[in-house]
Amino acid sequence: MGAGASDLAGMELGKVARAGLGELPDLCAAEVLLHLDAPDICRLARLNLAFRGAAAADFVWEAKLPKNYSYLLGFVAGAEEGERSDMGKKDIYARLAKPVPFDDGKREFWLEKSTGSISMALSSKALVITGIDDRRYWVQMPTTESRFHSVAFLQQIWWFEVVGEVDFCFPAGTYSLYFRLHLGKSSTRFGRRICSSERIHGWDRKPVRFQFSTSDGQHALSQCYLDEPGSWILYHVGDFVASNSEQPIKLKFSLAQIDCTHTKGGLCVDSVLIYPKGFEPERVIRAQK
Amino acid sequence: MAAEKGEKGAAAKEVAGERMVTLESSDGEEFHMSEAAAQLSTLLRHVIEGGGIDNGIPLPKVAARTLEKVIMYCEKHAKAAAKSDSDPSAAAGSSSDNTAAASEDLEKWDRKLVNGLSQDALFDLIVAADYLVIDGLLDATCRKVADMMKGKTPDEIRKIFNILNDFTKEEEEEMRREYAWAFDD
Repeated sequence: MGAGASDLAGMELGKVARAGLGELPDLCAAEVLLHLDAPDICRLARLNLAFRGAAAADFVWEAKLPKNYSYLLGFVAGAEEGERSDMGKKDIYARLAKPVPFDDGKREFWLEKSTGSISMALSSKALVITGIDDRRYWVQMPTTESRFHSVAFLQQIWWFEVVGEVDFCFPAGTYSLYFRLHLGKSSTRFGRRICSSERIHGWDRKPVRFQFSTSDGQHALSQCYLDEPGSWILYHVGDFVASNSEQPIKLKFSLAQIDCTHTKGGLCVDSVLIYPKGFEPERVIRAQK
Repeated sequence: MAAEKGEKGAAAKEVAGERMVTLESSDGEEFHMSEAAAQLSTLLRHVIEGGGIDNGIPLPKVAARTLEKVIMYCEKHAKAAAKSDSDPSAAAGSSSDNTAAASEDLEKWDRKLVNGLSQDALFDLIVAADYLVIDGLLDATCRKVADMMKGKTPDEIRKIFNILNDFTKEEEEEMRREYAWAFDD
Protein backbone atom coordinates (compact mmCIF):
# COMPACT_ATOMS: atom_id res chain seq x y z
CA MET A 1 0.00 0.00 0.00
CA GLY A 2 2.08 2.88 -1.22
CA ALA A 3 0.70 6.15 0.00
CA GLY A 4 3.63 8.19 -1.26
CA ALA A 5 3.61 11.95 -1.37
CA SER A 6 4.08 11.70 -5.12
CA ASP A 7 0.63 10.12 -5.45
CA LEU A 8 -1.14 13.34 -4.61
CA ALA A 9 -0.89 16.09 -7.15
CA GLY A 10 -0.52 19.42 -5.44
CA MET A 11 -0.85 17.99 -1.91
CA GLU A 12 1.06 19.85 0.67
CA LEU A 13 2.56 17.89 3.53
CA GLY A 14 1.99 19.04 7.09
CA LYS A 15 4.29 21.94 7.76
CA VAL A 16 7.25 20.96 9.90
CA ALA A 17 6.55 23.86 12.26
CA ARG A 18 4.22 22.46 14.93
CA ALA A 19 1.29 20.69 13.37
CA GLY A 20 -0.98 18.17 15.04
CA LEU A 21 -3.02 15.17 14.02
CA GLY A 22 -5.65 17.60 12.81
CA GLU A 23 -3.31 18.57 10.00
CA LEU A 24 -2.72 15.06 8.71
CA PRO A 25 -2.60 15.01 4.93
CA ASP A 26 -5.70 13.39 3.39
CA LEU A 27 -3.78 10.30 2.34
CA CYS A 28 -2.43 9.68 5.83
CA ALA A 29 -5.91 10.15 7.26
CA ALA A 30 -7.10 7.54 4.77
CA GLU A 31 -4.33 5.18 5.93
CA VAL A 32 -5.69 5.53 9.46
CA LEU A 33 -9.22 4.78 8.26
CA LEU A 34 -8.02 1.54 6.63
CA HIS A 35 -7.65 0.14 10.14
CA LEU A 36 -11.15 1.05 11.29
CA ASP A 37 -14.53 -0.53 10.66
CA ALA A 38 -17.29 1.10 8.61
CA PRO A 39 -19.22 2.68 11.51
CA ASP A 40 -16.00 4.26 12.86
CA ILE A 41 -15.07 5.57 9.39
CA CYS A 42 -18.51 7.15 9.07
CA ARG A 43 -18.17 8.74 12.48
CA LEU A 44 -14.72 10.13 11.67
CA ALA A 45 -15.97 11.64 8.41
CA ARG A 46 -17.51 14.26 10.69
CA LEU A 47 -14.19 15.02 12.41
CA ASN A 48 -12.79 17.65 10.08
CA LEU A 49 -12.42 18.40 6.39
CA ALA A 50 -9.33 16.21 5.97
CA PHE A 51 -11.08 13.16 7.43
CA ARG A 52 -14.21 13.88 5.44
CA GLY A 53 -12.11 13.71 2.28
CA ALA A 54 -10.36 10.58 3.45
CA ALA A 55 -13.64 8.90 4.39
CA ALA A 56 -14.89 9.33 0.83
CA ALA A 57 -11.78 7.71 -0.70
CA ASP A 58 -12.50 4.73 -2.91
CA PHE A 59 -9.50 2.71 -1.74
CA VAL A 60 -10.65 2.92 1.88
CA TRP A 61 -14.03 1.36 1.02
CA GLU A 62 -12.67 -1.06 -1.55
CA ALA A 63 -10.68 -2.64 1.27
CA LYS A 64 -13.91 -3.11 3.25
CA LEU A 65 -16.06 -4.54 0.46
CA PRO A 66 -16.30 -8.28 -0.10
CA LYS A 67 -14.19 -9.41 -3.05
CA ASN A 68 -17.22 -10.26 -5.16
CA TYR A 69 -19.08 -7.00 -4.61
CA SER A 70 -19.78 -6.64 -8.35
CA TYR A 71 -21.61 -9.95 -8.33
CA LEU A 72 -23.55 -8.92 -5.21
CA LEU A 73 -24.40 -5.55 -6.73
CA GLY A 74 -25.94 -7.42 -9.65
CA PHE A 75 -28.84 -8.40 -7.41
CA VAL A 76 -29.72 -4.81 -6.65
CA ALA A 77 -32.86 -3.98 -8.60
CA GLY A 78 -32.82 -0.84 -10.66
CA ALA A 79 -29.03 -0.50 -10.71
CA GLU A 80 -28.20 -0.55 -14.42
CA GLU A 81 -24.76 -1.63 -15.61
CA GLY A 82 -23.70 1.94 -16.36
CA GLU A 83 -24.99 3.27 -13.04
CA ARG A 84 -23.17 0.56 -11.15
CA SER A 85 -19.82 1.45 -12.64
CA ASP A 86 -20.39 5.07 -11.64
CA MET A 87 -21.06 4.26 -8.01
CA GLY A 88 -18.31 5.18 -5.58
CA LYS A 89 -17.13 2.32 -3.41
CA LYS A 90 -18.60 3.98 -0.32
CA ASP A 91 -22.01 4.11 -1.97
CA ILE A 92 -21.69 0.46 -2.95
CA TYR A 93 -20.95 -0.43 0.67
CA ALA A 94 -23.91 1.64 1.85
CA ARG A 95 -26.25 -0.01 -0.67
CA LEU A 96 -25.15 -3.54 0.18
CA ALA A 97 -25.51 -2.79 3.89
CA LYS A 98 -29.26 -2.51 3.30
CA PRO A 99 -31.10 -5.78 2.67
CA VAL A 100 -30.98 -6.75 -1.00
CA PRO A 101 -34.09 -8.76 -1.87
CA PHE A 102 -34.09 -11.38 -4.60
CA ASP A 103 -36.10 -14.39 -5.71
CA ASP A 104 -39.23 -12.26 -5.80
CA GLY A 105 -38.61 -10.91 -2.35
CA LYS A 106 -38.58 -14.38 -0.77
CA ARG A 107 -34.89 -14.10 0.03
CA GLU A 108 -32.53 -11.32 0.92
CA PHE A 109 -28.91 -10.75 1.80
CA TRP A 110 -27.05 -7.85 3.34
CA LEU A 111 -23.62 -6.71 4.46
CA GLU A 112 -23.05 -6.66 8.22
CA LYS A 113 -22.00 -3.03 8.71
CA SER A 114 -19.17 -3.58 11.17
CA THR A 115 -17.53 -6.58 9.61
CA GLY A 116 -18.35 -6.33 5.92
CA SER A 117 -19.42 -9.97 5.84
CA ILE A 118 -22.55 -11.22 4.14
CA SER A 119 -25.63 -12.61 5.86
CA MET A 120 -28.64 -14.13 4.14
CA ALA A 121 -32.24 -14.89 5.05
CA LEU A 122 -34.69 -17.18 3.28
CA SER A 123 -38.36 -16.70 4.13
CA SER A 124 -40.65 -19.66 4.73
CA LYS A 125 -41.98 -18.96 1.23
CA ALA A 126 -38.56 -19.80 -0.20
CA LEU A 127 -38.63 -23.20 1.51
CA VAL A 128 -40.42 -26.34 0.40
CA ILE A 129 -42.75 -27.29 3.24
CA THR A 130 -44.70 -30.54 2.98
CA GLY A 131 -48.42 -29.82 3.14
CA ILE A 132 -48.01 -26.03 3.09
CA ASP A 133 -51.04 -25.58 0.88
CA ASP A 134 -53.34 -27.55 3.14
CA ARG A 135 -54.95 -25.25 5.67
CA ARG A 136 -55.62 -28.18 7.98
CA TYR A 137 -51.88 -28.36 8.48
CA TRP A 138 -50.24 -25.02 7.76
CA VAL A 139 -51.38 -21.40 7.94
CA GLN A 140 -49.55 -18.25 6.85
CA MET A 141 -49.46 -15.85 9.78
CA PRO A 142 -48.62 -12.18 9.43
CA THR A 143 -46.32 -10.95 12.18
CA THR A 144 -43.99 -8.09 13.00
CA GLU A 145 -41.50 -10.55 14.46
CA SER A 146 -40.26 -11.71 11.07
CA ARG A 147 -38.16 -9.71 8.65
CA PHE A 148 -40.50 -11.09 5.98
CA HIS A 149 -43.59 -10.02 7.98
CA SER A 150 -45.10 -13.46 7.71
CA VAL A 151 -44.35 -16.91 9.10
CA ALA A 152 -45.69 -20.39 8.43
CA PHE A 153 -47.58 -21.72 11.43
CA LEU A 154 -47.99 -25.46 11.85
CA GLN A 155 -51.30 -26.44 13.39
CA GLN A 156 -50.74 -30.15 13.27
CA ILE A 157 -49.26 -32.73 10.95
CA TRP A 158 -47.74 -36.20 10.93
CA TRP A 159 -45.15 -35.59 8.25
CA PHE A 160 -43.21 -32.50 9.24
CA GLU A 161 -40.56 -31.65 6.67
CA VAL A 162 -39.02 -28.36 5.56
CA VAL A 163 -36.46 -28.38 2.78
CA GLY A 164 -34.44 -25.60 1.18
CA GLU A 165 -31.71 -24.87 -1.31
CA VAL A 166 -29.31 -22.01 -1.92
CA ASP A 167 -27.05 -21.42 -4.91
CA PHE A 168 -24.85 -18.41 -4.33
CA CYS A 169 -21.33 -17.00 -4.45
CA PHE A 170 -20.55 -16.35 -0.82
CA PRO A 171 -17.49 -14.20 -0.08
CA ALA A 172 -14.75 -16.50 1.17
CA GLY A 173 -15.22 -17.36 4.83
CA THR A 174 -16.99 -19.66 7.25
CA TYR A 175 -20.74 -19.50 7.73
CA SER A 176 -23.37 -21.07 9.97
CA LEU A 177 -26.86 -22.05 8.82
CA TYR A 178 -29.87 -21.89 11.15
CA PHE A 179 -33.62 -22.49 11.12
CA ARG A 180 -35.42 -19.70 12.96
CA LEU A 181 -38.29 -21.35 14.84
CA HIS A 182 -40.77 -20.47 17.57
CA LEU A 183 -42.90 -22.84 19.62
CA GLY A 184 -46.31 -21.32 20.16
CA LYS A 185 -48.11 -18.35 18.70
CA SER A 186 -47.34 -14.84 19.82
CA SER A 187 -49.51 -11.77 19.66
CA THR A 188 -49.62 -8.31 21.19
CA ARG A 189 -52.37 -7.30 23.53
CA PHE A 190 -52.43 -3.86 25.14
CA GLY A 191 -48.83 -3.35 24.02
CA ARG A 192 -47.59 -6.51 25.72
CA ARG A 193 -46.35 -9.61 23.99
CA ILE A 194 -48.51 -12.63 24.76
CA CYS A 195 -47.57 -16.17 23.91
CA SER A 196 -50.12 -18.88 23.44
CA SER A 197 -49.00 -22.45 23.86
CA GLU A 198 -52.22 -23.93 22.50
CA ARG A 199 -51.48 -26.42 19.76
CA ILE A 200 -47.93 -27.11 20.93
CA HIS A 201 -47.66 -30.88 20.98
CA GLY A 202 -45.56 -33.80 19.83
CA TRP A 203 -42.12 -32.25 20.04
CA ASP A 204 -41.16 -34.10 23.17
CA ARG A 205 -41.93 -37.50 21.66
CA LYS A 206 -39.13 -37.64 19.15
CA PRO A 207 -36.37 -35.22 18.19
CA VAL A 208 -36.33 -33.33 14.91
CA ARG A 209 -33.56 -34.10 12.44
CA PHE A 210 -31.41 -31.48 10.71
CA GLN A 211 -29.55 -32.31 7.54
CA PHE A 212 -27.18 -30.18 5.55
CA SER A 213 -24.87 -30.68 2.57
CA THR A 214 -22.92 -28.59 0.08
CA SER A 215 -21.97 -29.10 -3.55
CA ASP A 216 -18.32 -29.45 -2.50
CA GLY A 217 -18.84 -32.26 -0.07
CA GLN A 218 -19.37 -30.55 3.26
CA HIS A 219 -22.21 -31.98 5.30
CA ALA A 220 -23.75 -32.21 8.73
CA LEU A 221 -26.43 -34.31 10.38
CA SER A 222 -27.88 -33.75 13.82
CA GLN A 223 -31.02 -33.97 15.87
CA CYS A 224 -32.56 -32.31 18.88
CA TYR A 225 -35.81 -31.76 20.72
CA LEU A 226 -37.49 -28.47 19.99
CA ASP A 227 -37.98 -26.50 23.18
CA GLU A 228 -38.28 -23.11 24.85
CA PRO A 229 -41.79 -22.11 23.84
CA GLY A 230 -42.35 -18.38 23.56
CA SER A 231 -38.94 -17.47 22.18
CA TRP A 232 -37.47 -17.28 18.73
CA ILE A 233 -34.64 -19.75 18.55
CA LEU A 234 -31.93 -20.20 15.95
CA TYR A 235 -31.47 -23.94 15.57
CA HIS A 236 -27.97 -24.56 14.28
CA VAL A 237 -27.90 -26.90 11.29
CA GLY A 238 -24.27 -26.77 10.30
CA ASP A 239 -21.26 -24.73 9.24
CA PHE A 240 -19.75 -24.46 5.82
CA VAL A 241 -16.66 -22.89 4.32
CA ALA A 242 -16.87 -20.85 1.16
CA SER A 243 -13.33 -21.03 -0.16
CA ASN A 244 -13.69 -18.88 -3.24
CA SER A 245 -15.76 -15.73 -3.70
CA GLU A 246 -15.89 -16.30 -7.45
CA GLN A 247 -17.33 -19.78 -7.22
CA PRO A 248 -21.01 -20.50 -6.48
CA ILE A 249 -21.70 -23.01 -3.75
CA LYS A 250 -24.92 -25.01 -3.63
CA LEU A 251 -26.40 -25.70 -0.20
CA LYS A 252 -29.15 -28.20 0.57
CA PHE A 253 -30.69 -28.37 4.01
CA SER A 254 -33.71 -29.82 5.73
CA LEU A 255 -35.56 -30.06 8.98
CA ALA A 256 -37.80 -33.06 9.50
CA GLN A 257 -39.78 -35.09 11.98
CA ILE A 258 -41.61 -37.70 9.94
CA ASP A 259 -42.45 -40.32 12.52
CA CYS A 260 -46.06 -40.94 11.63
CA THR A 261 -47.11 -42.49 14.91
CA HIS A 262 -47.69 -39.06 16.39
CA THR A 263 -48.69 -35.61 15.23
CA LYS A 264 -46.87 -32.44 16.08
CA GLY A 265 -47.88 -28.81 15.91
CA GLY A 266 -47.89 -25.34 17.39
CA LEU A 267 -44.68 -24.32 15.62
CA CYS A 268 -43.83 -21.14 13.72
CA VAL A 269 -41.29 -21.52 10.94
CA ASP A 270 -39.95 -18.08 10.11
CA SER A 271 -36.86 -18.48 8.00
CA VAL A 272 -33.49 -19.99 7.33
CA LEU A 273 -30.58 -17.74 8.22
CA ILE A 274 -27.01 -17.88 7.06
CA TYR A 275 -24.68 -15.84 9.25
CA PRO A 276 -20.93 -15.49 9.38
CA LYS A 277 -19.74 -18.07 11.89
CA GLY A 278 -19.74 -16.63 15.37
CA PHE A 279 -22.40 -13.99 14.70
CA GLU A 280 -25.36 -14.95 16.91
CA PRO A 281 -27.84 -12.12 17.24
CA GLU A 282 -30.44 -14.39 18.89
CA ARG A 283 -30.57 -17.44 21.12
CA VAL A 284 -28.88 -20.38 19.44
CA ILE A 285 -29.48 -24.04 20.13
CA ARG A 286 -27.02 -26.57 18.81
CA ALA A 287 -28.32 -30.02 18.10
CA GLN A 288 -26.57 -33.26 19.01
CA LYS A 289 -24.71 -35.06 16.25
CA MET B 1 37.37 -3.70 2.12
CA ALA B 2 38.00 -1.24 -0.69
CA ALA B 3 35.10 1.13 -1.01
CA GLU B 4 33.15 0.49 -4.18
CA LYS B 5 32.83 4.14 -5.06
CA GLY B 6 31.00 5.26 -8.13
CA GLU B 7 28.97 2.12 -8.35
CA LYS B 8 25.91 3.04 -6.41
CA GLY B 9 26.54 6.64 -5.54
CA ALA B 10 29.17 8.24 -3.36
CA ALA B 11 26.81 8.55 -0.42
CA ALA B 12 27.38 4.86 0.11
CA LYS B 13 30.52 4.26 2.16
CA GLU B 14 31.54 1.03 3.78
CA VAL B 15 31.70 0.50 7.51
CA ALA B 16 32.69 -2.95 8.75
CA GLY B 17 31.63 -4.53 5.46
CA GLU B 18 28.25 -2.81 5.42
CA ARG B 19 27.49 -0.02 3.00
CA MET B 20 26.25 3.08 4.83
CA VAL B 21 24.40 6.18 3.76
CA THR B 22 24.53 9.59 5.42
CA LEU B 23 21.35 11.53 6.06
CA GLU B 24 20.96 15.11 7.25
CA SER B 25 17.90 16.11 9.31
CA SER B 26 16.05 19.41 8.93
CA ASP B 27 17.87 20.74 12.00
CA GLY B 28 21.31 19.97 10.54
CA GLU B 29 22.17 16.75 12.40
CA GLU B 30 23.98 13.98 10.57
CA PHE B 31 22.82 10.38 10.79
CA HIS B 32 24.20 7.17 9.34
CA MET B 33 22.14 4.23 8.31
CA SER B 34 23.00 0.98 6.55
CA GLU B 35 22.09 0.84 2.89
CA ALA B 36 20.08 -2.28 3.54
CA ALA B 37 17.94 -0.30 6.01
CA ALA B 38 17.67 2.65 3.64
CA GLN B 39 16.19 0.33 1.02
CA LEU B 40 13.01 0.15 3.11
CA SER B 41 12.33 3.73 2.06
CA THR B 42 11.26 3.88 -1.57
CA LEU B 43 12.34 7.51 -1.70
CA LEU B 44 15.85 6.82 -0.38
CA ARG B 45 16.17 3.77 -2.59
CA HIS B 46 15.54 5.92 -5.67
CA VAL B 47 17.98 8.59 -4.48
CA ILE B 48 20.72 6.00 -3.92
CA GLU B 49 20.11 4.26 -7.22
CA GLY B 50 20.08 7.60 -8.98
CA GLY B 51 23.66 8.32 -7.95
CA GLY B 52 23.20 9.68 -4.45
CA ILE B 53 24.79 12.80 -3.05
CA ASP B 54 28.42 13.25 -2.06
CA ASN B 55 28.02 14.66 1.39
CA GLY B 56 24.86 12.90 2.43
CA ILE B 57 21.16 13.10 1.64
CA PRO B 58 19.42 16.18 3.05
CA LEU B 59 15.94 15.65 4.48
CA PRO B 60 14.56 19.14 5.13
CA LYS B 61 11.15 17.73 6.10
CA VAL B 62 12.38 15.39 8.81
CA ALA B 63 13.61 16.59 12.21
CA ALA B 64 16.41 14.84 14.07
CA ARG B 65 14.34 13.15 16.77
CA THR B 66 11.96 11.78 14.12
CA LEU B 67 14.77 10.65 11.82
CA GLU B 68 16.28 8.78 14.75
CA LYS B 69 13.08 6.74 15.11
CA VAL B 70 12.85 6.17 11.36
CA ILE B 71 16.37 4.76 11.33
CA MET B 72 15.64 2.56 14.36
CA TYR B 73 12.63 1.13 12.52
CA CYS B 74 14.46 0.53 9.25
CA GLU B 75 17.54 -1.04 10.83
CA LYS B 76 15.37 -3.37 12.92
CA HIS B 77 13.30 -4.49 9.94
CA ALA B 78 16.30 -4.81 7.61
CA LYS B 79 18.05 -7.05 10.16
CA ALA B 80 14.93 -9.18 10.59
CA ALA B 81 14.60 -9.62 6.83
CA ALA B 82 18.28 -10.56 6.51
CA LYS B 83 17.91 -13.09 9.33
CA SER B 84 14.94 -14.87 7.76
CA ASP B 85 16.65 -14.83 4.36
CA SER B 86 19.75 -16.53 5.72
CA ASP B 87 17.81 -19.10 7.72
CA PRO B 88 18.32 -22.41 5.87
CA SER B 89 15.25 -24.03 7.35
CA ALA B 90 13.16 -21.15 6.05
CA ALA B 91 14.16 -22.12 2.53
CA ALA B 92 13.17 -25.70 3.24
CA GLY B 93 9.79 -24.38 4.33
CA SER B 94 9.85 -26.36 7.53
CA SER B 95 10.18 -23.56 10.03
CA SER B 96 6.84 -21.87 9.58
CA ASP B 97 6.59 -21.82 13.38
CA ASN B 98 9.85 -19.90 13.61
CA THR B 99 8.88 -17.39 10.96
CA ALA B 100 5.48 -16.90 12.59
CA ALA B 101 7.11 -16.31 15.97
CA ALA B 102 9.70 -13.99 14.43
CA SER B 103 7.09 -11.87 12.70
CA GLU B 104 5.04 -11.78 15.91
CA ASP B 105 8.10 -10.48 17.76
CA LEU B 106 8.63 -7.85 15.08
CA GLU B 107 5.01 -6.74 15.41
CA LYS B 108 5.45 -6.48 19.18
CA TRP B 109 8.55 -4.37 18.63
CA ASP B 110 6.64 -2.08 16.25
CA ARG B 111 3.83 -1.64 18.75
CA LYS B 112 6.31 -0.81 21.52
CA LEU B 113 7.91 1.78 19.27
CA VAL B 114 4.68 3.59 18.47
CA ASN B 115 3.21 3.22 21.96
CA GLY B 116 6.14 5.12 23.43
CA LEU B 117 5.51 8.22 21.35
CA SER B 118 3.83 11.47 22.30
CA GLN B 119 1.04 12.65 20.01
CA ASP B 120 3.34 15.19 18.36
CA ALA B 121 6.08 12.61 17.83
CA LEU B 122 3.53 10.18 16.40
CA PHE B 123 2.25 12.78 13.98
CA ASP B 124 5.80 13.66 12.88
CA LEU B 125 6.58 9.99 12.36
CA ILE B 126 3.48 9.48 10.19
CA VAL B 127 4.39 12.43 8.01
CA ALA B 128 8.01 11.22 7.75
CA ALA B 129 6.95 7.66 6.87
CA ASP B 130 4.64 9.04 4.23
CA TYR B 131 7.31 11.35 2.79
CA LEU B 132 10.02 8.70 2.79
CA VAL B 133 7.53 6.08 1.55
CA ILE B 134 8.16 3.44 4.21
CA ASP B 135 5.00 1.34 3.96
CA GLY B 136 5.49 -0.75 7.09
CA LEU B 137 6.17 2.27 9.30
CA LEU B 138 3.22 4.20 7.86
CA ASP B 139 1.05 1.18 8.53
CA ALA B 140 2.24 0.77 12.14
CA THR B 141 1.85 4.45 13.02
CA CYS B 142 -1.56 4.82 11.37
CA ARG B 143 -2.72 1.65 13.08
CA LYS B 144 -1.79 3.27 16.41
CA VAL B 145 -3.83 6.37 15.62
CA ALA B 146 -6.73 4.16 14.53
CA ASP B 147 -6.59 2.31 17.86
CA MET B 148 -6.75 5.62 19.70
CA MET B 149 -9.82 6.65 17.69
CA LYS B 150 -11.74 3.38 17.76
CA GLY B 151 -15.26 3.64 19.10
CA LYS B 152 -14.98 7.30 20.03
CA THR B 153 -17.26 10.11 18.93
CA PRO B 154 -15.87 12.98 16.84
CA ASP B 155 -16.18 15.30 19.86
CA GLU B 156 -14.13 12.98 22.06
CA ILE B 157 -11.48 12.66 19.37
CA ARG B 158 -11.29 16.40 18.88
CA LYS B 159 -10.62 16.80 22.60
CA ILE B 160 -7.95 14.11 22.74
CA PHE B 161 -6.07 15.27 19.67
CA ASN B 162 -6.83 18.95 19.85
CA ILE B 163 -8.41 18.93 16.41
CA LEU B 164 -10.28 21.90 15.10
CA ASN B 165 -13.83 21.39 13.85
CA ASP B 166 -13.63 23.19 10.53
CA PHE B 167 -17.15 22.38 9.40
CA THR B 168 -20.00 24.83 9.22
CA LYS B 169 -23.21 23.87 11.00
CA GLU B 170 -24.81 23.10 7.63
CA GLU B 171 -21.89 20.91 6.57
CA GLU B 172 -22.10 18.99 9.84
CA GLU B 173 -25.81 18.38 9.30
CA GLU B 174 -25.14 17.25 5.74
CA MET B 175 -22.49 14.80 6.99
CA ARG B 176 -24.87 13.39 9.57
CA ARG B 177 -27.42 12.68 6.85
CA GLU B 178 -24.90 11.37 4.36
CA TYR B 179 -23.63 8.77 6.80
CA ALA B 180 -26.86 7.99 8.61
CA TRP B 181 -26.98 4.62 6.83
CA ALA B 182 -24.11 3.36 8.96
CA PHE B 183 -26.03 3.84 12.19
CA ASP B 184 -29.69 3.14 11.59
CA ASP B 185 -30.62 -0.27 12.97
